[in-house]
Amino acid sequence: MIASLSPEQTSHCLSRLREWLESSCREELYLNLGEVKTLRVCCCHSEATNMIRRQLAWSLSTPVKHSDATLYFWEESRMADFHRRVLGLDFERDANDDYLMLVQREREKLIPFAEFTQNNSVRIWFEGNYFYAVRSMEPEELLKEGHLFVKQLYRAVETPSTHLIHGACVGIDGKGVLLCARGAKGKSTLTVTAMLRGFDYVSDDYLVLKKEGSSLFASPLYSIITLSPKMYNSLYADLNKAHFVSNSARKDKYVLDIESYDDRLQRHYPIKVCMFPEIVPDAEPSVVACAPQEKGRAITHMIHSTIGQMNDEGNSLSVRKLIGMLRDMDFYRIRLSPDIFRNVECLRSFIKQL
Amino acid sequence: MNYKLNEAKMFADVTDGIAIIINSLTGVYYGMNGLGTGMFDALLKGSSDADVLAAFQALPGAPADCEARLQAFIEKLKAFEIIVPASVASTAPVSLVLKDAVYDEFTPACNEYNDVQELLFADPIHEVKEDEGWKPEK
Repeated sequence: MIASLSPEQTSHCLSRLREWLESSCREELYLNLGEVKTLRVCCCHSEATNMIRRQLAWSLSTPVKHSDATLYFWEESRMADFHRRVLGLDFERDANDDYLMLVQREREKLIPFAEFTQNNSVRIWFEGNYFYAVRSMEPEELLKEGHLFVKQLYRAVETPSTHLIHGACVGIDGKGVLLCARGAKGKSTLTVTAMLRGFDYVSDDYLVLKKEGSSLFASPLYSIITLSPKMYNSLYADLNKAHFVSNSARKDKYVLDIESYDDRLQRHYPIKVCMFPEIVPDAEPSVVACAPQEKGRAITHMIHSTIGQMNDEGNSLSVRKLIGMLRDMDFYRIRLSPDIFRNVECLRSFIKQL
Repeated sequence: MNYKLNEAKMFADVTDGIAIIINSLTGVYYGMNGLGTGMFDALLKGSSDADVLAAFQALPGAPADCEARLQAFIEKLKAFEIIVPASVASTAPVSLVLKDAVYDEFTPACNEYNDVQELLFADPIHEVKEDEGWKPEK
């Protein structure tokens, strides 16, 4: 269901919302997003701030006078009749309609700015600010989308030369490998094991990509990793400095805080090649260059992995920008054996000869 | 007739049984359903439209208008400039997945993702009145 508002009506109801949230703010946090933007996070419930500190420890910054944007974060269940009381909109949410989008009419375009989903959240993006409500402050609820605020940060971090992507990055001596794959392809296991074996580390899942001239750099956002229970047990002894945060909402991954491994952490790390993990049972680990005709497929996979996660498929500007960032990179496939430590040594040998 | 990917403009990948195509010049993004993915994959591997049609018609429960459905799909791929005619052919057998065909009601589809178009066609536009707010028509 879609409802359309004029720009004046949009501005009016969101001003009311902003006033209400500013007066309800319990604590402010500031996030340095990939050395690109500073985001002020305005939390209406103090129990949320611990979770933010755990998940985004590597992005926390000291307060700044002028942030680039504000993220307002609150619990929806504490705001009965949210749309009526705060937004001043009098519509009935149809029980059979689990999704409502508000769009603003501007010239000939309809610009979506607010989404209400029946079961979990309110999301509003307006004039560079982000309004986000969840059903409850339970850790599993906050991790419903895998990483806290990931869809808000995706929008917040965007500039003409930067983009948040679904990918991992490790490296040696300033030679980074950008790993990209959808779930259950071994991306987190490889990067976390590599970090534990002395590699430079940026991220196992989401990172900020920045293009500077012909060079590409990766910066972290999150200080958490997600591992399957099986991999967690395999790496248990080496993960002695990590802290358990939660199960993921799907209960298929453990979320661990690795803030204390900050001696391995790298920011603004140069990427030399892009790589796709493939799990190949009963085979030796190896790295194979993508043939020229495979490169388009590889770029498509990488872009789909990001914008599919972010529901940003319709944004051709994002797609074009990501193509521009990736098309000059060399692409490889790493074939992963069941032996995670041999996989890491294979990756180490490959990076050293780059 | 044989076809190949329009490599001058398009990148394509099949992930988890779904074909994703990106126009590398415009950034426009296309996604196919399972049946469309099977047909597209077969065409890219060098099977002719006649071979794909034969495999489509051989599926249990296939409708009588298979040829029209396939041709409509191919015309859409050509209109989007995803495929272009090719001279190289393959004799590899075409294998379409019955479960996908049933799920997709025997209609191969390729959708163009475009936010503005989706919004315009998804729902009528409703006005919001300052005094009484927006009320959906029941």
